[in-house]
Amino acid sequence: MLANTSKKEKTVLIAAAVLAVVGIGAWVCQLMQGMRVTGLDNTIIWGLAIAVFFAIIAAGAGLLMLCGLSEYLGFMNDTQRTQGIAFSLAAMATGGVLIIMDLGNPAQFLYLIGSFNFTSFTVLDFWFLTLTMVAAVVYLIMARASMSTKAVGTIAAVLGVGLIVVEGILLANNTSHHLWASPMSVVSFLVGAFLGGSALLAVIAPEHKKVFMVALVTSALVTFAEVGTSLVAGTDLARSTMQSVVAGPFAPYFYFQLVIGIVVPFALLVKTNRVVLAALCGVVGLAAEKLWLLCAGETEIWVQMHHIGPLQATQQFSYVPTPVEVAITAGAIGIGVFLFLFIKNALYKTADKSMSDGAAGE
Amino acid sequence: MRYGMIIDLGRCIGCNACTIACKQKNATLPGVFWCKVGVSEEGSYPHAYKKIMPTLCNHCENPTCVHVCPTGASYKRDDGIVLVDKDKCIGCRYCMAACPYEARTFDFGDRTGYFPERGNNAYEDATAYKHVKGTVSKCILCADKIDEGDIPACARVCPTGARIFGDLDSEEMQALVKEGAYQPRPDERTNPSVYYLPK
Repeated sequence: MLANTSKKEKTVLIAAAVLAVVGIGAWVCQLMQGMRVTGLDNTIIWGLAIAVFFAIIAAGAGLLMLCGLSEYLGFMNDTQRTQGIAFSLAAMATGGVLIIMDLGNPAQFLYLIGSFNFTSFTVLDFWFLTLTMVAAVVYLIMARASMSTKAVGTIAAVLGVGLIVVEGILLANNTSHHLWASPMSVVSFLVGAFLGGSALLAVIAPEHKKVFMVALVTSALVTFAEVGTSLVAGTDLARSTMQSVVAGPFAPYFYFQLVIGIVVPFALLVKTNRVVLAALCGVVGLAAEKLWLLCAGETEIWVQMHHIGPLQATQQFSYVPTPVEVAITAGAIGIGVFLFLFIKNALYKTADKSMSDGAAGE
Repeated sequence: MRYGMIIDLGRCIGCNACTIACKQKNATLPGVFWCKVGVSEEGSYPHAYKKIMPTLCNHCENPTCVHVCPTGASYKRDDGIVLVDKDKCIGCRYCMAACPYEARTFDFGDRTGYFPERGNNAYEDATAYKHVKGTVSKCILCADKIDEGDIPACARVCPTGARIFGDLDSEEMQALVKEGAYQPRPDERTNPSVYYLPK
């Protein structure tokens, strides 16, 4: 595998391998000691790993949608498309790894596969993710063999849309969390997929960085619409929940999203050609958005059950990921990068060398 | 047959006997309360008052926790009791997010015990098998006692008889319900099997 890689790519590969090893070590630590090594508690039950899962699946599925769309609009050439599918596949696999690493008792995972309980959006999510990945593999093989890929590309793109919609409803289905149980959840997830997908597209095809810029603006508008509506027109509970986001314990994640996830990548795209850094900021910002959305939504039930006044209640929560959580998440991403480079080098030895140098190096 | 409970708030004195009985009977870990008594201050001076609200899992007729469980670990028995099969639970915590009543607890793996300086006592050792790290737990309505013909520990020990356990389909329980008992958060359409009789 290493024989066909450039020096810069080898460096990335080694860094990814180190991250993966550290992440697996941290996961083993979590398995042995239990999830008390995380910053989660009985109110904030989903944290960094789930936020990054949502963001990385959004990016992967979003890129797959764009690959499918390019079959009709022709904005990607064959090499870019095959790289895009490989990138998308690696991102979705990373999400799969991450969600398993976040389970308290992953040894029983086979029960999920065999339950076919389709009233559970987790089960639907699993099957949509699996089907989307299978479609992506078929798409990749056919694209590499220079076969006609319009039909399979369309199927993969539709499954990608389905995957994102299911994840939006997975959150919105929790009706007792008003922040989540809104039609905005699915819209926000679809915009997130557009943002993540166009960020990865810009890495593969820098000439399309304007699509990424449009996605950044769209994401900012949707975020402001969501936050503004709750603050101005919401109930006491909705207002206090959103206050915890804009001026409370979850504000660091909100402003991280705005600055690192939207302003910085936009400025990088306008002023420089550092597309990969801009894309990285965009996807990290997307994860930050999911993190404040999760945390603020999770506190709502506690607030409703304890009758101590919404504002007082939401202010007393906080969530800071522990080093173990950060290492696990970074490890899953390391596995994803490793997988991407493996697919790219094992299957696409004829890929554009200059692009691979640029993408991997930056 | 649908087992449930009617809690008479006019009788509850907030003594937490139910809380302690539940912990003793089910050997829950420190910080875990399947049965608890919430105390809050309601209203404002000069009409402020202390509100006492005993809670437990509502064993809903339409339990969202069961619907969202991806493995079938959360299930409802024919008699209406909602339980968790720890052998099937993967610890995804979706049921905790879905439950509108904050009735579920995740086992984070902390095994410090009640008296860490003395180590576990014989009872803690004997009941350690009940706790599975990385899984979700909740009130079982003392299903094991019910199967033996007994009633839940919280109802058994209540000194004022505020916790009334029985078959909600029975005439006695229906009569109490008709006295004005209400269910928590009816907007969630879960149809809880726990009713509250207002003061």
